[in-house]
Amino acid sequence: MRATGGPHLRPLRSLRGSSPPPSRPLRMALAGAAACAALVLGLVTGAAPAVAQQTGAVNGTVTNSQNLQPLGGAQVSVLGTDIGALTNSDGSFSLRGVPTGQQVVRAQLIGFGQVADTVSVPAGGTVTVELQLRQSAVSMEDIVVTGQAGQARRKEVGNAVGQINMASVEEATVNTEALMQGREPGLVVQQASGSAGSGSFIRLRGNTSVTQGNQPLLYVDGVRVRSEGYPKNVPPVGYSGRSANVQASPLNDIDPNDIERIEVVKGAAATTLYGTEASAGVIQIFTKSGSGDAQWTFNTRHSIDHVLQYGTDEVPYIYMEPWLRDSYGQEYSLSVRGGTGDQDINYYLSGQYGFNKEPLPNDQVEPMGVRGNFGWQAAPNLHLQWNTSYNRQLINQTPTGDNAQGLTLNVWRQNTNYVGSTDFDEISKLLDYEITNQISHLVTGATFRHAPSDQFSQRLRLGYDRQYQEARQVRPFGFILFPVGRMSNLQWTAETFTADYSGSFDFRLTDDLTNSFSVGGQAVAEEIFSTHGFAEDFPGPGLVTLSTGGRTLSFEDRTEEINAGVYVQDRIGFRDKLFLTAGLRFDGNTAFGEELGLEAYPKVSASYAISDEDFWPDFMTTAKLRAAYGESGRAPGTFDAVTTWQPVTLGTTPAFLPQNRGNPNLGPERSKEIEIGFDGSAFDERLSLQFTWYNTRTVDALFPVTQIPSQGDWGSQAENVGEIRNRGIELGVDGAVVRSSDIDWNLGLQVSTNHSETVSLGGATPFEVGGSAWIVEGQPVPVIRTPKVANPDERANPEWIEQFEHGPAWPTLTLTPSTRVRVPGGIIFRLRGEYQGGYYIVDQNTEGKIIRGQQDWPICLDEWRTINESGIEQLTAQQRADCTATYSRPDHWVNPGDFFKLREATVQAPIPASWLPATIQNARLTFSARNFWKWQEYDFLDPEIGSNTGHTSLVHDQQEHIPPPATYSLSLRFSF
Amino acid sequence: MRHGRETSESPFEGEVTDMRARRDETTRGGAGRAGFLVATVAALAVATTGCEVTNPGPVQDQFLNSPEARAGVVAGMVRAMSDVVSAGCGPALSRQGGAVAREIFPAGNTGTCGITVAEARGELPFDEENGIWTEAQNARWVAEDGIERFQETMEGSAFESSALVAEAHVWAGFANRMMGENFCQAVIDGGEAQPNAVYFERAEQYFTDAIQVAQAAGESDLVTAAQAGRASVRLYLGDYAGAESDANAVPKAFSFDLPYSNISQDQRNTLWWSQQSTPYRTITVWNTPNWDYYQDSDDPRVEWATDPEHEFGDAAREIIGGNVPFLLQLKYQSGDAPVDLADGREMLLVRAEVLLQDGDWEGAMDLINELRTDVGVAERSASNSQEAWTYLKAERRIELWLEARRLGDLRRWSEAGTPGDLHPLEDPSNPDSYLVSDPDLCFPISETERNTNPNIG
Repeated sequence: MRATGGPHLRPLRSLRGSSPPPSRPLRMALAGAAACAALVLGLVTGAAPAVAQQTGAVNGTVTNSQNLQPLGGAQVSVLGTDIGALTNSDGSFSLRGVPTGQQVVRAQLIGFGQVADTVSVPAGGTVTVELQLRQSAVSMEDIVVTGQAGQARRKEVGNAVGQINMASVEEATVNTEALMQGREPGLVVQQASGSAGSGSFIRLRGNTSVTQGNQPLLYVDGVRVRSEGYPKNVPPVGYSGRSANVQASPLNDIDPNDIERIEVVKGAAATTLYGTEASAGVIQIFTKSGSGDAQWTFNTRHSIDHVLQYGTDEVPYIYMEPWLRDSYGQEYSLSVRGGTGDQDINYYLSGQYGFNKEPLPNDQVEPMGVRGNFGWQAAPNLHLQWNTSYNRQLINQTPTGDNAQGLTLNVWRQNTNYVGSTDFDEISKLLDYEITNQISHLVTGATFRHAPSDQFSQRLRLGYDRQYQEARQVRPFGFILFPVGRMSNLQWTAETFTADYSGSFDFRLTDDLTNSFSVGGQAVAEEIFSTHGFAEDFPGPGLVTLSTGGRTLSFEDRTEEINAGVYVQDRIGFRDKLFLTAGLRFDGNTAFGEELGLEAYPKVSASYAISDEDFWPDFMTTAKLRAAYGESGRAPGTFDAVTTWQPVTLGTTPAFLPQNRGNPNLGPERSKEIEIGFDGSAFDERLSLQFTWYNTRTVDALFPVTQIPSQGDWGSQAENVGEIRNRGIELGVDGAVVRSSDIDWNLGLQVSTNHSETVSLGGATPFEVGGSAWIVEGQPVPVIRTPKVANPDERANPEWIEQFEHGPAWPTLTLTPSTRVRVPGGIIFRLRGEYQGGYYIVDQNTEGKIIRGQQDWPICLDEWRTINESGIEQLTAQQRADCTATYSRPDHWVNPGDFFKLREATVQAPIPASWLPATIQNARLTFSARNFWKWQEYDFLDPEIGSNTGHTSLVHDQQEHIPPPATYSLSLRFSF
Repeated sequence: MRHGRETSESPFEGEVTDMRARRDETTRGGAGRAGFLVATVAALAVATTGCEVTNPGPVQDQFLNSPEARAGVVAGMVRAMSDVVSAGCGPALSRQGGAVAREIFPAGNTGTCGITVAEARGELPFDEENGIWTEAQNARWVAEDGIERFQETMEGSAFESSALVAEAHVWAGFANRMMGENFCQAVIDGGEAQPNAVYFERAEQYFTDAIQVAQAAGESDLVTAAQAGRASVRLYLGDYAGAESDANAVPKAFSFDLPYSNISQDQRNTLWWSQQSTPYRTITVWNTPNWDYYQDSDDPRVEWATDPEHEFGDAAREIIGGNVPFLLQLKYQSGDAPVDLADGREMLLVRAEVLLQDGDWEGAMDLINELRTDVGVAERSASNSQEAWTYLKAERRIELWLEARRLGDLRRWSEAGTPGDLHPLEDPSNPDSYLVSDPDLCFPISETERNTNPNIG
């Protein structure tokens, strides 16, 4: 097929570029890539234009059948010809030079099932056709990129690839993490708290690492973006909880309005080509591009946040009512997308600004950003794409969490607090504690796609991600709990450079056999550098800087790490039904031990489009069987392999203390995954189903082996000693109960399970990873292990079971039911809930109150009434343990985490064209309610209240945080 | 502003400055240069150099072998020792052991800067005292490892006459004494559990070696410090003649201190920092023996005061079922107030105890009263050995107050069954002490040591 209308048609089939591959270290990556670019550019050749005769034209529009909104960027082609084009932003297209007579016009777009219609083209005339695309999770011809060596059709891929297509998201989205929540089986998203800027725990198929983090890798338009959270805003010395105790997430820097779709690959079977750092899965975000006439889109969202009850009925907000507010937020975005007349150049430009107050009194977020995506068809066989975004967030926070100088802790502790008062004005003096964060985030990447021939294509991508945060906090002179004043200022920068090359050679072995051979390489270099200033003892009131302090300290950290690898992959196709793929990646990483060489990660997969067989019944529209095995890794920490001493001071004298024992043989932990699945649809795609079973073993798992204390305080040393396993299923079912031109009613259900187990400690002793979460052989990863009352119902003093293993610390079952209705007039209703269950949470809040004898702690009010009226003898052992200091034990307050929340209720209505000025092409009004109703098995403290350690930790215990609020949003979107 | 250590006369500071400038970075070849070349050449065919990153900050082990690093190694010994004895808001013997010994009383938070529920009752469960075991062992190990490193990297003659080596031995001696006084059993470098006397034996040897090297180096203060330390250790080992001999060699005005600093919170003397309302007021003098004693004596060694702004500690304590009256200790009145490790006044009490052991209670009382006269408080009058022992025990409680020494004394006297009474508020049978009936007098081998050390059953 050869395109006449635009650049995108050809790249889809013939420009098989991919994602991973290596080049080299930081300083060489760009040089090498530049050399490659020159190589690529030097290979440019021309292509023949199409010619027309005895022809007519086909005009039309392509819309989304689910909401009747126009779809820009869809590929429209005339079967059997080279004629094709991309739709404009308003969904329109025009095909010239179409041979007269009966022709089949086909439209397709990533994330949608293709649709075709037969038209009769008059000589010299024009015929019009309306094509409606329906979103399909199981489309065989759909193109996927993530985890592939270049692009691939879904039918060729042996592993599950999740996709979230923004064209089918009606919700007025709060941020990118919220957008992903509950939309893909196996993707668990839990917001860590209701504080401003808080990121979310994200897990794909559970915890595959105990020490190296479990946040998936993040790519934006092929550019690697650091996915770990921004640093917590906390002084560099002293208690690590003087903070709001949350971390912001780089994911939320991305404006959801800019996103076209998100691809999610969940485990090692699919992430082999990403190599050493991909065992936790990969999330790739694709942003919008333009085509056709310029189309402007304006979007504004106005929202109210309201915190739902998280206490008991008697004390619904744990005394926080005077400080919590229903907060108002507003966001505006404007974009323009389009292309030049000949479509040689396309563009997407956008800008965003918002100002959101949050429920806690000092909390607010002010996001802003700009994006420019430019494509240039430099030659018929060379396409260049340059995407750049710059986002900035100003985040003000209230001190919260387990923070003795924080608002929530002092309010919740009432008369045993550190303020020494329950008076509103006294406690409110804590709000003089200023915590401010300024985040700026630049992502830019250039992609060169080159197809010298129909058989060979290559792609080179250079990317740069720069994340910067100024984390500043001030306790001013006279602050109630630190009268001499104290401040700190962290200037933190992380730079990630990506150089990525992929080349594919497609050829036919026989009439039945096709082959696609790919090679590639990738280098990712990450530098993080920070300076942290600290000052205290201010001379008096007034605005301060670090220089104001009578005593100042400064700290600097710098780390640099490089991962580079190469891969080969070969895919053989048999009659376009059966596909076998095998690949191998070799990786090196600067964090490996000196004695360790390259690491090899193999993969093999098969897919069988069984519905293409003649024997397959027609009512089952599509069906694909798939199986995949693959390996990927996770590198140790930058210094883990080296014996190091920590430079410290003794007063002003330099000194050394033990820091890291080191291990020259240290290597990556390796996840080996097998997944088997089925994708299918039936009854003209009224019913679709995706099912995957997976089994992931992480061997050579890096465990923090605690060193023998009597041999010096070396803490723990990462060692490749462990083995952990994750198993589960992922099921997605979607059914059209009613489907007509006026009414659509769909029901959907996603189910995922995850059962983890520490298979082997490799000789290490069980160890705690924080918050009473332990790594214990034969138990989940991690397991909640605490003392437990053995005689809970007896009227006696508690007897204790030591080291009781309650169960997993992370959800083992996630259910996401949804329904969607479109009624005449194009009004859409959507309801989506999420259940997460089968896990336990440690309540760290209650312990801090009970051991101080706090009698008005909400869950102990009845017990203390009983004690004061009738004596402690009337309490059961469990009640005594739970509510009295004398009989309690540390960390024994453990509760089931099961909950169900209505994540989304949306009503979206198109504004009739007759109500709009002529310049407005379409307009939509959307009301969304998010997290507005919940059920939880243990009815105290919201399960999405997190800990002091932010969202990237392995542990999710509960500290003095408020939960994520319910959000009610009204948004208006129109194009012109 | 402090201007460069380069101009300092101290070779210690100058040497370390030079060393840090050159050495404090970690250069890694990662997965191997060859590996990266293969990878990158195959990928892009443009590789011309190897893959190497430079990560400054942590100091690689071999750099500590250089002569310029030795002063920093010794400073690390001091820092490790000060950390465990009385620094910051983490584990600290002076605060946690002091609470068990009722030198101070718990007044607030149980975590940061605090005293746990168990410690408040006089209990030291092995699974709750990991931090203090680890820090104490670190102080011992860092000092002993430093000496080994010096031995391996210095010429024999230089080693035997080096002031730094002498100082390192002194710190190794005090670290072992600290462990002997506060911990129930000895574990050395991952070995088996042994009687805690092993710590004292090691301390004695390190002090002896220190004296020898310090004399060769002409460091008279280090000689005296080692003699003072050895005197206190020999008391535990029952070498009373040796203890008396060493104690006699220490002038009354001599003092050897463990330094603290205001430079950062984690180097501040915890007994000052924990009562500064930032936001913690976790300790109080209320309901302790010296609370009572000071009211009668005005002894400047145990001075305390009320806080006009805070009547109570920072949080209610379960042990008394409510808020705890807050009384400030005034022995340490700033974050950089040092802790005495050995001094001449303690030597008087060493000699007094030796005399008591020999049955010369009148001689012992003379020494106790000599000390009391020196500090300006009324003399004691005893009429028999029993009373003299009581006064000796009280005087050590006063003289060594809040120096992480009391648990050792209580244990030593308890095991030896010495005559004489303790203060009623040290007596578990007195309900006002709020102690369990059989309080712990030493920190046990920690859970972490038990879990990781294959030689511990």
